[in-house]
Amino acid sequence: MSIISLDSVRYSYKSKYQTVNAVNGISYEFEKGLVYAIVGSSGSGKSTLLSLMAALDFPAEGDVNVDGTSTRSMDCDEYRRDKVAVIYQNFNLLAKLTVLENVELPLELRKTHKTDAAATAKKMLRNVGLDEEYERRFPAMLSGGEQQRVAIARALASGADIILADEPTGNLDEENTEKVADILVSLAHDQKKCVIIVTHDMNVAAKADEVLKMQDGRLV
Amino acid sequence: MFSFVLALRNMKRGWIVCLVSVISFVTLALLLSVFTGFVNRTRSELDSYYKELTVTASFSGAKAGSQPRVRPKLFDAVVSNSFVKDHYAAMEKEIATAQRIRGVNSAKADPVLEEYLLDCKWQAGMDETVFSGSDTVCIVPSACEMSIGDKIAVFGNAFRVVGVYNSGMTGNWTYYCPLETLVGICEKNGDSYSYYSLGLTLGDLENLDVFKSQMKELGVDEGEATLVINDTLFRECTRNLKLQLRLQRGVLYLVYILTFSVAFVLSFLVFRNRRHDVAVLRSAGCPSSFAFMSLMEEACIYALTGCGIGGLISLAVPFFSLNLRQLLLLFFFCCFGAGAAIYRVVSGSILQEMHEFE
Ligand SMILES: Nc1ncnc2c1ncn2[C@@H]1O[C@H](COP(=O)(O)OP(=O)(O)O)[C@@H](O)[C@H]1O
Ligand SMILES: [Mg+2]
Repeated sequence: MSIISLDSVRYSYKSKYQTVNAVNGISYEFEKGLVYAIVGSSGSGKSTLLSLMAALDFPAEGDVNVDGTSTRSMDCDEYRRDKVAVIYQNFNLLAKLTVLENVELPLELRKTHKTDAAATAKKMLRNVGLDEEYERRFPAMLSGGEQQRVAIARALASGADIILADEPTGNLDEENTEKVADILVSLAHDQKKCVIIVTHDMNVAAKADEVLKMQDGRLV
Repeated sequence: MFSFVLALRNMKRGWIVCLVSVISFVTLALLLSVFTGFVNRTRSELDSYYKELTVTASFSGAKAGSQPRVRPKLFDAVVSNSFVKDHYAAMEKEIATAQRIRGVNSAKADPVLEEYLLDCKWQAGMDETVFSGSDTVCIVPSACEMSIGDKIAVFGNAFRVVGVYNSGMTGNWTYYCPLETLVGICEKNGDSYSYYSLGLTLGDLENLDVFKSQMKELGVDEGEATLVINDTLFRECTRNLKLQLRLQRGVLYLVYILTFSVAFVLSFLVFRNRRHDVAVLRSAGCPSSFAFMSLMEEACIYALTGCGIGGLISLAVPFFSLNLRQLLLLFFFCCFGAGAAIYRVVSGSILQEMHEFE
């Protein structure tokens, strides 16, 4: 059975001057244990679609169902806290928290014991190649690639079953891209998580079990 | 508890914002207290005028130069009025042809008597204070050739002579006795009488207009007596201060509007800036109520510290003055501004908030 199913999902950004239809009727089913890659030109609605799957907002029409339940009718706070982890295109790290605190945040919100949270966070930072000297720095003191790896570590630390990654390797060098891609693939194949990666990198897309192409808010 | 830790951490690491907010709130509190200080100073200056200045009033005759006739009923009503702090009065009764007795409660009530008293021989231990009492005593003119200790029969009462004044006149005798004594005798005998002199010392000057209208209701300006209030000097002295006070109060209201709206806008903007932080927290599954609490705690700490320091400075500096109500209002607007901003931030769409920062 699919873990996430999209049912004619639509979403638009409304401003005073115009309405942008970012997602234009998408239906699809995502399974556990598989890696999906979503590709498409910039502005085709990939980030918006991921955000809807993360229940950051509800679709204007249609439904995002997780384990058969629409996001509209579930406890979204709990879902975001326990079931889904997102690696954002723009990282979305908290500027006033150190690298370590940023990675600990999802665990602290789940009331994990402080020492356990710290241990897990440290392990995840090592996994993405950030050693101890980074832990006490603030995001503003890191390069784009380093910030991106912190964002990845934060998503991994949460231990969620659904990993949504929005261009997770956009700022990484080849070596780190390879490393991160392998981690994501192993999460799906070894730990039976559902991993969905938005990417421009054909090498990353090649590692996916399924590749979806988006254009103008639709799957093509 | 975690919300409070988060708030403290935010303050420590965003200490510039924290400091600027607190300093702004202190400044606003001081602004309020400076202007309140102005108003209070003028107010107390005016109060001291009200306390220290005296205003007198007296009845005069209906026609210029004539003596007034104040009936007992009017007299009682005027004298018992709460604005009247002190009064002097005089009445007169004919005893026989060219012989009369005057009752006064103070020498001031009769200008002629005041002059006589300059040359008056008193019984040992006696002086003009007898007039304010109620003994059956009197002073007599030297022309009637009586001496201290003699008795005169007046309307069936024996008045003891306690003083002899030099009248320098013969044939027309005036005895002076305490007012209360003479009024008592007239009341007992059922004789009609009226006062030919009544002077007042007024208090509670702030509301002198009320006194005036009360007197008008009593009809003091009709008939045989007119009330003259000598308040020209008093009005001159207080007019400028009253005007100044009105102006300062007006300005204070403007300062209220200004400080409260600045407090609101300032904390609104400070916490509006937390949109991204809140969006990130919520995207990680932090409940809106929790994010709201955490930011609100931070806002309350800023407002409390700012208003607290402002209040303490106002207490310490003599010229400043600030009351608790103003301080609470300021605190309220600081929190209200933050609350409005935070509410908007936590209730918006996470997706839209996040995308705005891309
Ligand atoms: N906050 C926003 N307000 C208005 N339009 C937006 C906003 N965010 C994104 N869009 C528009 O929605 C469309 C899809 O955006 P997005 O999902 O970010 O695309 P992608 O991730 O594929 O580049 C784009 O046309 C973009 O301009
Ligand atoms: Mg995007």
